[in-house]
Amino acid sequence: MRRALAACAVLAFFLGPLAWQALTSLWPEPELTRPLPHSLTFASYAGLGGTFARAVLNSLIVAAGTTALCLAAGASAAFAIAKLDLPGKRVLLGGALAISMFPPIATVSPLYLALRAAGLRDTLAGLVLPYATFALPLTLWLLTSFFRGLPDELYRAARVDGCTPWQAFVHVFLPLSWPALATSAILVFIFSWNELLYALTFISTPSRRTIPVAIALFAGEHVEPWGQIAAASMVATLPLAALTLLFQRRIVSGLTAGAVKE
Amino acid sequence: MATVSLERLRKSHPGAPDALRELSLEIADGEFLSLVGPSGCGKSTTLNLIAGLDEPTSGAVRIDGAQVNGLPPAERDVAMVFQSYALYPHKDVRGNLAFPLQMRRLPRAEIERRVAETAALLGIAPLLSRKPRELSGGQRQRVALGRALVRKPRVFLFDEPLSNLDAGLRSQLRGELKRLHATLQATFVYVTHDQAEAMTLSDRIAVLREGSLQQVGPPREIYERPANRFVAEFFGTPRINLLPGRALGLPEGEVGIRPEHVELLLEPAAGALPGAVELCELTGAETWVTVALGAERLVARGEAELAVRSGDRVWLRAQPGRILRFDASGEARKA
Repeated sequence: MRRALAACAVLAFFLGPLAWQALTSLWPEPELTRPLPHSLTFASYAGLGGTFARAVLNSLIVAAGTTALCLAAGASAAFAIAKLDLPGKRVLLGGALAISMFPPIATVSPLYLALRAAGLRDTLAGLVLPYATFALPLTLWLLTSFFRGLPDELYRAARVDGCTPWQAFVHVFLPLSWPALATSAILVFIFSWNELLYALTFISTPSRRTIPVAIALFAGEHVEPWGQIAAASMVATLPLAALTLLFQRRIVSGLTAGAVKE
Repeated sequence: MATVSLERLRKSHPGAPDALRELSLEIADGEFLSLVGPSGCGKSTTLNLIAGLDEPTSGAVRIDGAQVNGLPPAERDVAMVFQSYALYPHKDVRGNLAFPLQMRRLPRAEIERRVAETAALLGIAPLLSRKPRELSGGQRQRVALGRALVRKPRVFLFDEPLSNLDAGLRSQLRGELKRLHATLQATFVYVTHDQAEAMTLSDRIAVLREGSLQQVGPPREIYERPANRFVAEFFGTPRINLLPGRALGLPEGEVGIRPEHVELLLEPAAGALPGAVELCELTGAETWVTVALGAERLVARGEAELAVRSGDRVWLRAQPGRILRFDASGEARKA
């Protein structure tokens, strides 16, 4: 009984704000200050309109692009660090960690100049690139420790069986790294999906805005459209929740069971 | 099939003693050669150098006379069986066996034929569609063996392949390995720390210690005429008796005598030395008796039925032709 109560308290703590947000999004706008509305409505969702749909699409493109770039670069680099005889591995890992320590705000203006020089300002690619650099260290560390956990003998067996190091990565190690790839993918996706600072600074064309920017700019000079902001937040949160639940099943251990004697 | 020659192989790691010091070794075509020694003696390093998984600091590896230094493992045409089996967990048995052939781009029909042939040879045909995690230890090691066989490589390398198996399975697979070697007549290089395994399997044994070669020869020679104290102690269970020569009435230096070459007598006899029984260990087929001989301890082999108890007085006589003599540095002296 006590446990059930404790569990409910924890659930309420975590889900409370979300439930509040959900209710706000369904509350009829004129009745927001009333304790109970006459009815619930999807009007706030309907009012989001085409601009917001465009923002959702942009966010999807940016987050998916960043995730793909991060995993491609991160997985191959992590494999090389974990299994190959490279000089300067530690420096590389340490450097990656150091980079992730930079406060984003300190990098905004130099990045802005660099992107403008590269002709990437106000493009979605101009978001994917800096996001990837910020998310890469995490991916690298996560995947490196995962690959280190896979037995070295597996790599040696693949080499003797005729693989080049790259083939060993593709044919043997990549198929085994699903759990780690899924975990990294979720983290990178969430980071790029939620990022506000860069997106707000680098993008000026309204049709290229991402969700966080769109929501931040909802508020007009005189009105705060709470219902719409809540509805937009719900729309932004649902894909993440779905993604996490989906991948949660993939994040299974025991994939390597039977490869080596435990 | 092929010969393997190692010429003055050296492998050093910065900040550590050399893993291998000028190792030279000729392995004949079709030979079963074991590399034996305690852990850290350089035997696995040697295997990696032959396979091309590592490159020597200096020296050469030749397969069939051609130097293979710098060639990737794929171009050396050697196969390896690992202690941990190292099966590919995401592939079924068929996939594991086919993988080395697929990497060599053999035609599909040929791959299927060879996989079936190998599976039949090792008795793993019923397991072909199982994943490694669904196999027992012995089955996994057979699949690992199959993955090496299927390629028909020039040289087979074994890195302690039986160490992870329990005793019963180990001796069964040991027999299978020996039969396999006879059937294939291929060159086998076999690394183990288990001296009994090396004795039973090998044509020749190479004993390594701290990166240098101690002795190479057929098992019998290694056992009966060890080059030094280290080799004498490493082979044989129970361990060889080592004691100062004067304890046996010899002038100087150290002597070694194996327990089975010490006669245990219940009555005084010519040339026999008196002692007191300290410990009797019955193993079933025989009894190992530890006897205090003055300040020294000797183990002697007795019959299983031997009726002595600790404290009993007995007489020991070393078979004269069987005494090994070592000089101060531990090297064997010529008799």
